[in-house]
Amino acid sequence: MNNALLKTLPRLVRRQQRRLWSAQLLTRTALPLGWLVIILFSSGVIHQGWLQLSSPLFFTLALLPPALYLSVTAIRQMPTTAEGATAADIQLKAHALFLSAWEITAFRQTPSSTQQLLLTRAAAELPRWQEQLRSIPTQRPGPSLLLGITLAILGGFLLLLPGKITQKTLESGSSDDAKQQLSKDSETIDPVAAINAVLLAEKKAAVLQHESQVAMQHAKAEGAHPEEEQTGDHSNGQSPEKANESRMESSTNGETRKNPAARNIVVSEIGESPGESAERHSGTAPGLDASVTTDQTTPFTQQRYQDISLDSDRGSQAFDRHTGQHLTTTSQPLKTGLSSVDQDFTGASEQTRPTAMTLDQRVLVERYFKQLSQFDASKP
Amino acid sequence: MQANRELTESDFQEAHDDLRGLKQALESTIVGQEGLIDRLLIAFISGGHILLEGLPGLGKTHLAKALAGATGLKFSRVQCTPDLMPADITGSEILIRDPQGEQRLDFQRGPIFAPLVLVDEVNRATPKTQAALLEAMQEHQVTHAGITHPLPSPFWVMATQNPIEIEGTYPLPEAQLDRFLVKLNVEFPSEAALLSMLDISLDDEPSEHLQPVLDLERLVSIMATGREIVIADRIKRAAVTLLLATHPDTSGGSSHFRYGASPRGLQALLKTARIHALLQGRLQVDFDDLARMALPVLRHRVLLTIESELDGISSDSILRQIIQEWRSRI
Repeated sequence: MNNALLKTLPRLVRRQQRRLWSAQLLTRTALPLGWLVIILFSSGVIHQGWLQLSSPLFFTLALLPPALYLSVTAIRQMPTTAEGATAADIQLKAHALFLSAWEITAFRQTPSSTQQLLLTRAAAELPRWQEQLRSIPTQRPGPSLLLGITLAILGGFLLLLPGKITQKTLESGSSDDAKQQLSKDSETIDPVAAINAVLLAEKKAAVLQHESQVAMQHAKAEGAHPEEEQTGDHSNGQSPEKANESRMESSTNGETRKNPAARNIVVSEIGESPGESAERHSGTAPGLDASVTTDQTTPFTQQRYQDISLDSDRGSQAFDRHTGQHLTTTSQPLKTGLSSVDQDFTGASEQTRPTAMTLDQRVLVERYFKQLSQFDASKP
Repeated sequence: MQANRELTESDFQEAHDDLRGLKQALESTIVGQEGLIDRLLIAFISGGHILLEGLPGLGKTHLAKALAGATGLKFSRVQCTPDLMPADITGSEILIRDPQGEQRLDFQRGPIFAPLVLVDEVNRATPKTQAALLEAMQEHQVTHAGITHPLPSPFWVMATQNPIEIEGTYPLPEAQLDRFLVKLNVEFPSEAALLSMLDISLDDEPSEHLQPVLDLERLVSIMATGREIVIADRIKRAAVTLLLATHPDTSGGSSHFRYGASPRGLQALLKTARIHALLQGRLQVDFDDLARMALPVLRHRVLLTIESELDGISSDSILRQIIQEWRSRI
């Protein structure tokens, strides 16, 4: 028996078997793909237009049944080698020569004279068969299948993107539902946030008090070495940039320095949005960001709001509306220039933005700040 | 007959060429019936009996004569009538006196003792005569007075019948129809075929002058080559599936049939498919061979339901539908 036939025919049959299998699966994709498209696309549209849906649930619902169906189909519809040989024979238009030769090589031990003749004919045709089967393109998905896949992907994106209600809540918070939701949230987190703010302020005051004492000692030392002031004092351990920043802060906020304890702390009222709160305290339009900076070179805490235009790049120069000067040091986001305490405080203030205090808490906080404002660092 | 002989490529080519030559010889005398000649030859080389059905004057007898002439076979003809007796076909004992003056009964062989027998209008013979004929067809022998007389081998019967004559006829029972390998319908020739026929047979019968292109030995050799044609298991399975599709009680079987084709029909299908492959120059049977031979092999082996008959549905139309569906499933 021809060795080439013995080796090549089973290989060709297996190849055709795989093709047949994939082709059968492709033809069976209509139903699962239809399911996938309907579920993903409709849920995506609903998610974007009307009702926020759980994406993982709908992805599971859309993908699991088709995957199961295709798996079962793939197992049950797996063609036999005989079917693969038949398919190859039909593809090659071999009039059962391929099929008969494959059967003889696969099952028969000693072929008869006619079978030998047949195998000889098959061996002569073998190179052409190989070439033909190699040149047959693999079956591509049809236009309807591609359309279905596109719709399914689109539906998946719609489902993955934030829903319409979520966007509204995030962007404006103007809807009544959102306001009510925010109001409810602020009522619930208000006491904790306020107490956190107080604790942080206390902590910060202690730190600043310590720093002011150190600064006074330095001031005394400066009287003894005035030239050091002209060349730049880095003795407090700050970097040159930090020192510049501190100087700028101290020069632009001279007014504030006269009243070192004066501070503006935003306390949102009930139902007030963060933007409105910021506007109320800084006189800027809602939607503008507000952050806290601290001049660490001064012995006293200076906290104020710097209104940064959001329409410009964060990296661009920020503008201080109180002094009318550009803040070069805020070319980076302002938080980066803050000490750890400031960052903590800022974080806390972000938490307390939408908060409101009860009357007792407000009295407590006001009393605390009053005491703090009466604090005179110049006194021993 | 040769069994398990060593077939070579040249043997095969020779058989194929002889068969093509025989076909061309027949086509030269019978014009416009190429399909019929193909199937007739296939059934003939398969060694089966042939039932020809067609209107009078379409050349059925002419075709049988041409086949006998082209093969050089001894040919006999039986014209069936209601008063035809079995002995008129098989033969009978007659009293003879030998030269010594003694009298004895001697069996005189009837027309059935010929390799090729044309039984004209077989449905006009009585059932008793039909039964005697059909027994000879099946057994290839005639038994008379307890003595068995073998028929020549190979042995073919070509029977004809007229589909429109009902009165004074005895339609063949299904069991007897099954003995015919194929039932061929002789169609009316086309206009061009009729014109060609006028050119060659207006004043003469070309079949009577046809020279043999094959002898009996060669014919037997071709038949043996035909039996060597390879049938793949997958093809055999497909043939079984096709046969079962004619059975109403199997899944996917046609509900138009009261009875489906018999196992003998399956044998006939594969036998004829082999010769069809040989005629096409192939060493192996293809699905197309089965599809081509299915209608002539199965059409007289199925029985329509009363409802389908009353609806005017023919078994041919249902079989064509079955074959088409079967072919598309492969």
